Amino acid sequence: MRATVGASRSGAAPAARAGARAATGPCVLGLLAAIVTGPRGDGDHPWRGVERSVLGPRIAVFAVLVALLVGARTPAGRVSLAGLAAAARRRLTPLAPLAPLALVPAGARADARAPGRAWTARRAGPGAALVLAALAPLAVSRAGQQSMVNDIGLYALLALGLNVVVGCAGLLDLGYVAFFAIGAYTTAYVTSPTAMPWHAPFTVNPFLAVPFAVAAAALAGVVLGGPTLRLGGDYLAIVTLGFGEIVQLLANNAGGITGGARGVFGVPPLSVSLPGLHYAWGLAPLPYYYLLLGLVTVVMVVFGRLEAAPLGRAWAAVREDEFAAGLTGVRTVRAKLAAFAIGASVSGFAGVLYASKQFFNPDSFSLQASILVLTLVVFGGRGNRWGVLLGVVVLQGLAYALRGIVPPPDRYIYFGAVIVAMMALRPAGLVPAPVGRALPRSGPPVVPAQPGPAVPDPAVTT
Amino acid sequence: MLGSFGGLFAARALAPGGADGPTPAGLTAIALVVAGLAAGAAAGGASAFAVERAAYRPLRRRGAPPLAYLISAIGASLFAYNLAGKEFGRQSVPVPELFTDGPVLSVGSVALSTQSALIIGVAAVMLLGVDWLVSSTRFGQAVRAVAQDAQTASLMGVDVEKIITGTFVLGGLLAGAGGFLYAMTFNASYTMGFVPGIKAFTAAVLGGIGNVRGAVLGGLLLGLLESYGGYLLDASYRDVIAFGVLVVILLARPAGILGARAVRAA
Amino acid sequence: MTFPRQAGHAASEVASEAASEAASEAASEAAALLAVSGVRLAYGGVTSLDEVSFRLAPGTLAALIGPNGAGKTSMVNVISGVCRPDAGTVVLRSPDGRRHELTGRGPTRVSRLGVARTFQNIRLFGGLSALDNVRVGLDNRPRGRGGAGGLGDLAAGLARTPAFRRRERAADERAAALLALVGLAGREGASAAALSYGERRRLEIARALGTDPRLLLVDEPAAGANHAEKQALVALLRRINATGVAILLIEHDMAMVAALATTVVVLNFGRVIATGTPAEIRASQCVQDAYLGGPVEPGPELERPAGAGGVARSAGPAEVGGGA
Repeated sequence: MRATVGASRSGAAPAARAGARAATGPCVLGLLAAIVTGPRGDGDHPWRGVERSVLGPRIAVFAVLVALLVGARTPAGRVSLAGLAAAARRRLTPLAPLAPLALVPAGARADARAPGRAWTARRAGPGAALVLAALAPLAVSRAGQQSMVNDIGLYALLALGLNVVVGCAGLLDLGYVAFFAIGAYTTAYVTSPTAMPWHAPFTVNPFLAVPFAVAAAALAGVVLGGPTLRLGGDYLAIVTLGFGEIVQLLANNAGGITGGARGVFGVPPLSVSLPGLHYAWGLAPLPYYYLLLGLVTVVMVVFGRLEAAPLGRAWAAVREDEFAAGLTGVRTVRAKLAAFAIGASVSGFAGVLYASKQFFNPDSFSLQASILVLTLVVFGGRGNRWGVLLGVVVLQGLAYALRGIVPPPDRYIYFGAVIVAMMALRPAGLVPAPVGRALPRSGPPVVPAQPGPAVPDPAVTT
Repeated sequence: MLGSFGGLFAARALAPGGADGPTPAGLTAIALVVAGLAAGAAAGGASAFAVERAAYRPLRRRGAPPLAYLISAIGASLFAYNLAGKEFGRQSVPVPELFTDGPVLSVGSVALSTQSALIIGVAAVMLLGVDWLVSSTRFGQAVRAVAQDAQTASLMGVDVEKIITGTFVLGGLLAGAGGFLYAMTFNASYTMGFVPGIKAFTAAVLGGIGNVRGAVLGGLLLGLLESYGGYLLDASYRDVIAFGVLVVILLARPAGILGARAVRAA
Repeated sequence: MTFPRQAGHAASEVASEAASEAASEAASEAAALLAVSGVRLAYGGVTSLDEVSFRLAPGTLAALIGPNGAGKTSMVNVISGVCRPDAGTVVLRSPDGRRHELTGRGPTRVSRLGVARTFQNIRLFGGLSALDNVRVGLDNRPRGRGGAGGLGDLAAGLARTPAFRRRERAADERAAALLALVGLAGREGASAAALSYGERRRLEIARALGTDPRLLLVDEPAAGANHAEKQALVALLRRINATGVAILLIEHDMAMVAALATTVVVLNFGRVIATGTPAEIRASQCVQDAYLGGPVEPGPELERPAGAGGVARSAGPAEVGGGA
């Protein structure tokens, strides 16, 4: 912090310097934004992209942005911007019908903060969200539905699982899709004799592959977590990163087991055949969507109960201050391991769904995918499962909506920027984890009668 | 640690500029190599500076927990190398021939090429330079002070912000120059930074985090392990070996070979 | 009263022996709640604890005092399992007569055996509400007294069985009661980070009580407290002690110590130099020397005009112990 204590100089120079300093940030940001959204370059002409982004009429837009940002830093600028914001709010009121979407965050906070409210009031927000989610795919094209299944549905499951690890327990896992891969390959192993070189001596319906996949993923989670959870946060991140890479490398190279880079093809689609109920999920995205919606709902309910249980509190304690948690009697190792195993299980479970949907190969299980899931969790709200859901919908929805404008590989530029910006500006995410919990039921606390008479304060001499 | 990670990513992904043209020789070659190294170092240092300012300083300001730094580093790396991919293309780009590569030294059937000699030479200079910097200059002293106790260091008159920024930039400089050498050997591509970054971290941990000589020792050791392991198992398993070594070291002896013994209890 | 074995110091007083006539020796080795024997702790060339031994009777209210650097917090760290001593043992006795050796067990195990502590610089779970902070303590009570754990409890939690809901409600009420005990009634929903300094200190005590301890180690609770808060703390600690919880208080404030403790153990340079009642300690020359650094001749700079409200030098540690 460069304080102005010390040599005083004439007023103009420091003021100009301060102004320049205030402007450099926005200028750099503006330049970056121009480059990021501008045309691309390539190996032979690396500067072509930059040149065309910056030297040209489009730079005017960014110049305005920069001016706004610089203006926002000065007191006068702040006032005028506040006026603009108020005016914008007034203009936006016609968008009121979208208000139910706001119930979701409200529902998230209400969930934990005021259990004293009636059962129905607490369920209103999430209930509305569920209805909205059920109706949403009917409003979009089939391609949109397909995207909703792949990008939102599956990733919602993954993000919820990772949220338990990163958000609830505060452990950074950078190799999360490794468990996804384990689940997918286990599914191929037990459901089809032909999908990959290795196969089980029996085959089961993909739904019944769930216990196998979940068990395999959870086991992997425990084996990985057992020795590494006692390492510090940095080292845990690196080890999980390494683990993720090892799994992907093995999947790619152990062709005799996994089919290698060729991938896995031929896992039977999900189907139910019980007496009286026969249904097979085929290629149509809509049935898959509703299946995923149901599963996500179940997971949300289960995780909500976990968070309210002693285990959830143990996670929170470990996350806040592991040392103090240990001293309060929390079995920290067990709690962390449980979080890891639960996260891995959900990931493995998602792997079953992924495998039975389509062909897959090791490319799907890259570090980039792990980081994407992390982005979704961090953006939405670490520790808040509603926030995570919202984050998935928003980010993936945006990515899909902008798919014409932003080529898919460039997506990650924005995701990276989103992470950095989120951490700098709003580290808790869109919808932060709720804090307080008041007394759950009615009435003031009953203070049990204290044994012994009230002790008069002793004369305390100083 | 994560800072150098991010800086490494950024620097390597931004594969520093070299020269182009016909294969030069002699003094021109030397000049070009030096220019390449300098440009690489500059790019690395500049990007490290930018990452530190954009991603880490705001977190320091608000006293964020370590998890936030880790996540932010991931984001910065994601941003940087994908932007590089967009701007510089997603193919690997070779560095043009800067000199005619040939054997410089032959011992029996083993020949040391100019390229390898160059790499060893630069590494030696870097080792000596950084070692001297950290142990014998005021800057180095300040760095060590801040690493031990930033608050007290600032009370002693050290400008902690400047030192932190300087440390990141130094890491970036080294990484950038190293990236140029790497690109000369293996070509540059936008994802080139990731695996070397992990291996750099592995080497640093293997030798003992915080120990300059340990880092070099770790790097040499890791390279040997990889080469022999790749020969014994399968070339494509080299990276697995690297990660495996990392995991084993962290579990068995997190302090590394030359690192201080872990302090007991609280 | 308990009578620690003396160690080392040449001029150490044996006042405790005299006081033993007045109070019957209620605690022998066999009946002591906590027996610290021969504890040594050294690191980096500094001997933090040197053959420290003392015993605490069940339900006692004792104080551990000494100049800065005497090893008080180290002692607490050893008892609570944070540090493993180089030599010596710490043994806790449970009501059924079983002896549990605490040395070498981690803090979690020690806490679950019934020893709770607070910290000099408060360590709360800032992101949790006051109620939940206490609930964490309650969740982790010693086995058999209501602690939640194990897969069975987890399954019950997931299924929300009526039994689970009843247990939760009971635990919430107990947590609220503990909050009320420490004077935080009505603040259950506030996030721990939002409480005032004094409230945070009291919350830490409430959380420690949540683990249903038999021995509570309180590390400098009066640091930063004003006179009224100190009085409230004294009352609170007495109330807690009255429920049967033994308390070991680390404090610099001699007035608090005098008001609360029945036994005082004095450490200096890692050794026990005196034990006894507060009155004995206050009169002890050896303790005075420890605080003042040796016998001191009155000089012009030490004398104070009597009329200015200063206290004469011979009043003992009470005035010099005020440094925090």
